[in-house]
Amino acid sequence: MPHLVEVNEKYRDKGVEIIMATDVDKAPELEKFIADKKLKLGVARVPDIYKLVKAQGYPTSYGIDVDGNCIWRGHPQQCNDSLIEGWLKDLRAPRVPRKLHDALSSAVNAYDNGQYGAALNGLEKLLKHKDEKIKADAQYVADLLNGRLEMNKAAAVIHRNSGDLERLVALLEADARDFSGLDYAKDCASEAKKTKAGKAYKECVEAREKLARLKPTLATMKPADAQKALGKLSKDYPDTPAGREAAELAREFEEKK
Amino acid sequence: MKTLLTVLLTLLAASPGYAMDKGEEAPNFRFEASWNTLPGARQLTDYRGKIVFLEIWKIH
Repeated sequence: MPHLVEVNEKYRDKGVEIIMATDVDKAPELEKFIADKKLKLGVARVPDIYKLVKAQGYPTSYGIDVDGNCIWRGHPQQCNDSLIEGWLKDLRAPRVPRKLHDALSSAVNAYDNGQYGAALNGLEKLLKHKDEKIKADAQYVADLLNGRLEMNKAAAVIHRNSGDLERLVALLEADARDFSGLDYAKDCASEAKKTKAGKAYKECVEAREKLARLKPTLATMKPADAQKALGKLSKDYPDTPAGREAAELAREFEEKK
Repeated sequence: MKTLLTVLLTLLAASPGYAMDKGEEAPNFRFEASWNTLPGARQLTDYRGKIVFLEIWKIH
Protein backbone atom coordinates (compact mmCIF):
# COMPACT_ATOMS: atom_id res chain seq x y z
CA MET A 1 0.00 0.00 0.00
CA PRO A 2 2.76 2.58 0.71
CA HIS A 3 3.89 2.45 -2.91
CA LEU A 4 0.32 3.17 -4.03
CA VAL A 5 0.41 6.32 -1.89
CA GLU A 6 3.45 7.40 -3.92
CA VAL A 7 1.71 6.52 -7.19
CA ASN A 8 -1.30 8.53 -6.06
CA GLU A 9 0.76 11.61 -5.21
CA LYS A 10 2.80 11.44 -8.37
CA TYR A 11 0.14 10.67 -10.96
CA ARG A 12 -3.23 11.86 -9.65
CA ASP A 13 -2.92 15.26 -11.27
CA LYS A 14 -1.75 13.65 -14.50
CA GLY A 15 -4.96 11.67 -15.00
CA VAL A 16 -4.48 8.46 -13.00
CA GLU A 17 -6.95 7.68 -10.23
CA ILE A 18 -6.64 4.90 -7.69
CA ILE A 19 -9.71 3.04 -6.48
CA MET A 20 -9.18 0.54 -3.70
CA ALA A 21 -12.40 -1.44 -3.82
CA THR A 22 -13.46 -3.79 -1.07
CA ASP A 23 -16.63 -5.67 -0.31
CA VAL A 24 -16.13 -5.53 3.45
CA ASP A 25 -19.64 -5.17 4.82
CA LYS A 26 -18.73 -3.44 8.05
CA ALA A 27 -18.53 0.26 7.21
CA PRO A 28 -17.31 1.33 10.70
CA GLU A 29 -14.44 -1.19 10.46
CA LEU A 30 -13.45 0.26 7.09
CA GLU A 31 -13.77 3.82 8.33
CA LYS A 32 -11.53 3.01 11.31
CA PHE A 33 -8.95 1.43 9.01
CA ILE A 34 -8.89 4.53 6.77
CA ALA A 35 -8.60 6.85 9.78
CA ASP A 36 -5.91 4.74 11.52
CA LYS A 37 -3.79 4.56 8.38
CA LYS A 38 -4.54 8.20 7.48
CA LEU A 39 -5.25 6.80 4.05
CA LYS A 40 -5.54 9.40 1.31
CA LEU A 41 -6.12 6.91 -1.47
CA GLY A 42 -9.54 6.54 -3.09
CA VAL A 43 -11.37 3.77 -1.24
CA ALA A 44 -14.78 2.42 -2.21
CA ARG A 45 -17.06 -0.12 -0.63
CA VAL A 46 -18.55 -2.15 -3.46
CA PRO A 47 -20.71 -5.16 -2.63
CA ASP A 48 -19.66 -8.25 -4.60
CA ILE A 49 -16.69 -6.49 -6.24
CA TYR A 50 -14.70 -9.72 -5.99
CA LYS A 51 -17.29 -11.57 -8.06
CA LEU A 52 -17.92 -8.63 -10.41
CA VAL A 53 -14.34 -8.54 -11.66
CA LYS A 54 -13.97 -12.31 -11.25
CA ALA A 55 -10.91 -11.79 -9.06
CA GLN A 56 -8.95 -14.90 -8.18
CA GLY A 57 -7.21 -13.75 -5.04
CA TYR A 58 -6.51 -10.79 -2.77
CA PRO A 59 -5.07 -8.37 -3.59
CA THR A 60 -5.56 -8.20 -7.33
CA SER A 61 -5.23 -5.03 -9.34
CA TYR A 62 -6.26 -3.83 -12.75
CA GLY A 63 -5.41 -0.98 -15.09
CA ILE A 64 -8.50 0.50 -16.76
CA ASP A 65 -8.25 2.89 -19.70
CA VAL A 66 -10.17 6.10 -20.41
CA ASP A 67 -13.01 4.14 -22.04
CA GLY A 68 -13.42 1.71 -19.15
CA ASN A 69 -11.56 -1.24 -20.70
CA CYS A 70 -9.11 -3.41 -18.80
CA ILE A 71 -5.55 -2.84 -20.03
CA TRP A 72 -3.62 -4.69 -17.32
CA ARG A 73 -4.08 -7.19 -14.53
CA GLY A 74 -1.53 -8.08 -11.87
CA HIS A 75 -0.39 -7.81 -8.29
CA PRO A 76 -0.36 -4.26 -6.84
CA GLN A 77 3.40 -4.62 -6.18
CA GLN A 78 3.94 -4.88 -9.95
CA CYS A 79 2.59 -1.36 -10.38
CA ASN A 80 5.57 0.91 -11.07
CA ASP A 81 6.45 4.16 -12.83
CA SER A 82 7.21 2.61 -16.21
CA LEU A 83 3.89 0.74 -16.23
CA ILE A 84 1.92 3.89 -15.43
CA GLU A 85 3.89 6.09 -17.78
CA GLY A 86 3.13 3.56 -20.52
CA TRP A 87 -0.59 3.96 -19.78
CA LEU A 88 -0.31 7.74 -19.74
CA LYS A 89 0.94 7.71 -23.33
CA ASP A 90 -2.61 6.62 -24.23
CA LEU A 91 -4.28 9.34 -22.17
CA ARG A 92 -6.91 10.87 -24.43
CA ALA A 93 -10.55 11.87 -24.34
CA PRO A 94 -12.90 8.89 -23.94
CA ARG A 95 -14.89 7.78 -26.97
CA VAL A 96 -18.68 7.76 -27.22
CA PRO A 97 -19.46 4.32 -25.85
CA ARG A 98 -21.95 3.18 -28.46
CA LYS A 99 -22.72 3.40 -32.19
CA LEU A 100 -24.91 6.38 -33.00
CA HIS A 101 -26.90 7.71 -35.96
CA ASP A 102 -24.73 9.16 -38.77
CA ALA A 103 -26.40 12.55 -38.29
CA LEU A 104 -24.37 12.82 -35.10
CA SER A 105 -21.01 12.15 -36.74
CA SER A 106 -19.73 15.71 -36.38
CA ALA A 107 -20.75 15.94 -32.69
CA VAL A 108 -19.35 12.46 -32.01
CA ASN A 109 -16.09 13.42 -33.70
CA ALA A 110 -15.85 16.52 -31.48
CA TYR A 111 -16.63 14.38 -28.40
CA ASP A 112 -13.99 11.80 -29.31
CA ASN A 113 -11.44 14.62 -29.62
CA GLY A 114 -12.32 16.05 -26.24
CA GLN A 115 -14.02 19.15 -27.71
CA TYR A 116 -17.04 18.92 -25.44
CA GLY A 117 -18.26 22.49 -25.94
CA ALA A 118 -18.27 22.04 -29.72
CA ALA A 119 -20.03 18.69 -29.30
CA LEU A 120 -22.77 20.20 -27.12
CA ASN A 121 -23.24 23.10 -29.53
CA GLY A 122 -23.47 20.63 -32.42
CA LEU A 123 -26.14 18.66 -30.59
CA GLU A 124 -28.41 21.60 -29.93
CA LYS A 125 -30.39 21.34 -33.20
CA LEU A 126 -30.36 17.54 -33.15
CA LEU A 127 -32.05 17.53 -29.74
CA LYS A 128 -35.13 19.01 -31.46
CA HIS A 129 -34.90 16.76 -34.55
CA LYS A 130 -38.15 15.21 -35.81
CA ASP A 131 -36.49 11.79 -36.21
CA GLU A 132 -36.91 10.13 -32.80
CA LYS A 133 -33.78 7.97 -33.22
CA ILE A 134 -31.60 11.01 -33.92
CA LYS A 135 -33.23 12.90 -31.07
CA ALA A 136 -32.66 10.02 -28.63
CA ASP A 137 -29.03 9.60 -29.71
CA ALA A 138 -28.44 13.35 -29.36
CA GLN A 139 -29.98 13.25 -25.90
CA TYR A 140 -27.75 10.30 -24.97
CA VAL A 141 -24.56 12.19 -25.90
CA ALA A 142 -25.82 15.44 -24.32
CA ASP A 143 -26.49 13.53 -21.07
CA LEU A 144 -22.96 12.09 -21.10
CA LEU A 145 -21.48 15.55 -21.57
CA ASN A 146 -23.73 17.31 -19.09
CA GLY A 147 -22.97 14.56 -16.56
CA ARG A 148 -19.27 15.25 -17.01
CA LEU A 149 -19.83 18.99 -16.71
CA GLU A 150 -21.87 18.61 -13.50
CA MET A 151 -19.26 16.31 -12.01
CA ASN A 152 -16.51 18.81 -12.76
CA LYS A 153 -18.60 21.60 -11.22
CA ALA A 154 -19.02 19.45 -8.08
CA ALA A 155 -15.27 18.81 -7.98
CA ALA A 156 -14.59 22.55 -8.34
CA VAL A 157 -16.84 23.27 -5.34
CA ILE A 158 -14.88 20.74 -3.25
CA HIS A 159 -11.49 22.20 -4.30
CA ARG A 160 -12.75 25.76 -3.73
CA ASN A 161 -14.10 24.97 -0.25
CA SER A 162 -10.99 23.08 0.82
CA GLY A 163 -8.67 25.81 -0.47
CA ASP A 164 -7.01 23.40 -2.90
CA LEU A 165 -6.54 26.19 -5.39
CA GLU A 166 -3.90 24.54 -7.57
CA ARG A 167 -6.25 21.65 -8.25
CA LEU A 168 -9.11 24.10 -8.76
CA VAL A 169 -7.15 26.08 -11.36
CA ALA A 170 -6.07 22.90 -13.17
CA LEU A 171 -9.70 21.79 -13.37
CA LEU A 172 -10.96 25.21 -14.49
CA GLU A 173 -8.28 25.52 -17.16
CA ALA A 174 -9.07 22.06 -18.50
CA ASP A 175 -12.80 22.87 -18.64
CA ALA A 176 -12.12 26.27 -20.25
CA ARG A 177 -10.33 24.35 -23.01
CA ASP A 178 -12.62 21.30 -23.30
CA PHE A 179 -15.94 23.17 -23.11
CA SER A 180 -14.77 26.04 -25.32
CA GLY A 181 -17.74 27.60 -27.12
CA LEU A 182 -19.98 27.60 -24.03
CA ASP A 183 -20.49 30.37 -21.47
CA TYR A 184 -19.38 27.85 -18.84
CA ALA A 185 -15.92 27.74 -20.45
CA LYS A 186 -15.67 31.54 -20.34
CA ASP A 187 -16.60 31.50 -16.64
CA CYS A 188 -13.96 28.83 -15.99
CA ALA A 189 -11.24 30.79 -17.82
CA SER A 190 -12.14 33.96 -15.93
CA GLU A 191 -12.17 32.26 -12.50
CA ALA A 192 -8.87 30.47 -13.24
CA LYS A 193 -7.22 33.76 -14.19
CA LYS A 194 -8.57 35.57 -11.13
CA THR A 195 -7.61 32.71 -8.78
CA LYS A 196 -4.07 32.49 -10.17
CA ALA A 197 -3.55 36.21 -9.65
CA GLY A 198 -4.65 35.99 -6.00
CA LYS A 199 -2.47 35.77 -2.90
CA ALA A 200 -4.08 32.52 -1.71
CA TYR A 201 -3.09 30.67 -4.89
CA LYS A 202 0.50 31.88 -4.66
CA GLU A 203 0.62 30.66 -1.06
CA CYS A 204 -0.63 27.23 -2.15
CA VAL A 205 2.20 26.99 -4.69
CA GLU A 206 4.83 28.25 -2.23
CA ALA A 207 3.68 25.88 0.51
CA ARG A 208 3.69 22.88 -1.85
CA GLU A 209 7.18 23.73 -3.10
CA LYS A 210 8.53 24.24 0.42
CA LEU A 211 7.02 20.98 1.67
CA ALA A 212 8.43 19.12 -1.35
CA ARG A 213 11.91 20.43 -0.47
CA LEU A 214 11.48 19.65 3.22
CA LYS A 215 10.12 16.10 2.91
CA PRO A 216 13.31 14.35 1.68
CA THR A 217 15.29 15.86 4.58
CA LEU A 218 12.87 14.79 7.35
CA ALA A 219 14.23 11.27 7.70
CA THR A 220 17.69 12.54 8.63
CA MET A 221 16.43 15.19 11.08
CA LYS A 222 15.87 14.80 14.80
CA PRO A 223 12.12 14.39 15.45
CA ALA A 224 12.05 17.66 17.39
CA ASP A 225 13.70 19.57 14.52
CA ALA A 226 11.44 17.94 11.94
CA GLN A 227 8.40 18.84 14.03
CA LYS A 228 9.62 22.43 14.35
CA ALA A 229 10.22 22.84 10.61
CA LEU A 230 6.86 21.30 9.74
CA GLY A 231 5.12 23.34 12.43
CA LYS A 232 6.53 26.55 10.98
CA LEU A 233 5.36 25.62 7.48
CA SER A 234 1.87 24.80 8.75
CA LYS A 235 1.70 28.10 10.65
CA ASP A 236 2.96 30.13 7.70
CA TYR A 237 0.48 28.50 5.29
CA PRO A 238 -2.46 27.31 7.43
CA ASP A 239 -5.12 27.40 4.71
CA THR A 240 -3.25 25.46 2.06
CA PRO A 241 -3.26 21.70 1.37
CA ALA A 242 0.52 21.55 1.94
CA GLY A 243 0.17 23.52 5.19
CA ARG A 244 -2.43 21.03 6.44
CA GLU A 245 -0.25 18.10 5.40
CA ALA A 246 2.70 19.67 7.23
CA ALA A 247 0.56 20.01 10.38
CA GLU A 248 -0.38 16.33 10.12
CA LEU A 249 3.26 15.29 9.67
CA ALA A 250 4.29 17.51 12.59
CA ARG A 251 1.81 15.62 14.80
CA GLU A 252 3.39 12.33 13.74
CA PHE A 253 6.84 13.62 14.73
CA GLU A 254 5.41 14.85 18.03
CA GLU A 255 4.32 11.25 18.74
CA LYS A 256 7.83 9.98 17.89
CA LYS A 257 9.56 12.41 20.25
CA MET B 1 -20.98 -41.60 -10.56
CA LYS B 2 -23.82 -39.38 -9.42
CA THR B 3 -21.72 -38.23 -6.43
CA LEU B 4 -18.76 -37.45 -8.71
CA LEU B 5 -21.00 -35.41 -11.00
CA THR B 6 -22.40 -33.49 -8.03
CA VAL B 7 -18.88 -32.74 -6.80
CA LEU B 8 -17.80 -31.55 -10.25
CA LEU B 9 -20.87 -29.34 -10.65
CA THR B 10 -20.32 -27.87 -7.18
CA LEU B 11 -16.69 -27.11 -8.03
CA LEU B 12 -17.70 -25.47 -11.30
CA ALA B 13 -20.31 -23.34 -9.56
CA ALA B 14 -17.79 -22.23 -6.94
CA SER B 15 -15.15 -21.39 -9.54
CA PRO B 16 -14.70 -17.63 -10.05
CA GLY B 17 -14.47 -18.18 -13.83
CA TYR B 18 -12.00 -16.29 -15.97
CA ALA B 19 -10.70 -13.17 -14.31
CA MET B 20 -11.26 -9.82 -15.99
CA ASP B 21 -8.37 -9.46 -18.37
CA LYS B 22 -6.82 -7.16 -20.97
CA GLY B 23 -9.26 -5.94 -23.62
CA GLU B 24 -12.35 -6.74 -21.56
CA GLU B 25 -14.75 -3.98 -20.55
CA ALA B 26 -14.71 -3.45 -16.80
CA PRO B 27 -18.09 -3.91 -15.11
CA ASN B 28 -19.67 -0.65 -14.08
CA PHE B 29 -19.78 -1.11 -10.34
CA ARG B 30 -21.37 1.44 -8.02
CA PHE B 31 -19.84 2.70 -4.80
CA GLU B 32 -22.01 1.99 -1.79
CA ALA B 33 -19.71 4.28 0.17
CA SER B 34 -16.46 6.00 -0.78
CA TRP B 35 -13.59 7.96 0.71
CA ASN B 36 -11.08 10.23 -1.13
CA THR B 37 -12.42 9.13 -4.51
CA LEU B 38 -12.84 11.44 -7.51
CA PRO B 39 -15.16 14.26 -6.36
CA GLY B 40 -18.72 13.55 -7.47
CA ALA B 41 -17.95 10.00 -8.65
CA ARG B 42 -20.44 7.31 -7.61
CA GLN B 43 -19.57 4.55 -10.09
CA LEU B 44 -16.77 3.40 -12.36
CA THR B 45 -18.19 5.08 -15.50
CA ASP B 46 -17.78 8.44 -13.74
CA TYR B 47 -14.04 7.87 -14.25
CA ARG B 48 -14.30 7.90 -18.05
CA GLY B 49 -11.45 10.04 -19.33
CA LYS B 50 -9.20 8.95 -16.45
CA ILE B 51 -6.89 5.98 -16.21
CA VAL B 52 -7.89 3.91 -13.21
CA PHE B 53 -5.69 1.73 -11.07
CA LEU B 54 -8.21 -0.57 -9.41
CA GLU B 55 -7.17 -2.68 -6.48
CA ILE B 56 -9.43 -5.33 -5.01
CA TRP B 57 -8.46 -5.76 -1.38
CA LYS B 58 -9.53 -6.92 2.02
CA ILE B 59 -8.76 -5.68 5.53
CA HIS B 60 -6.47 -8.18 7.24
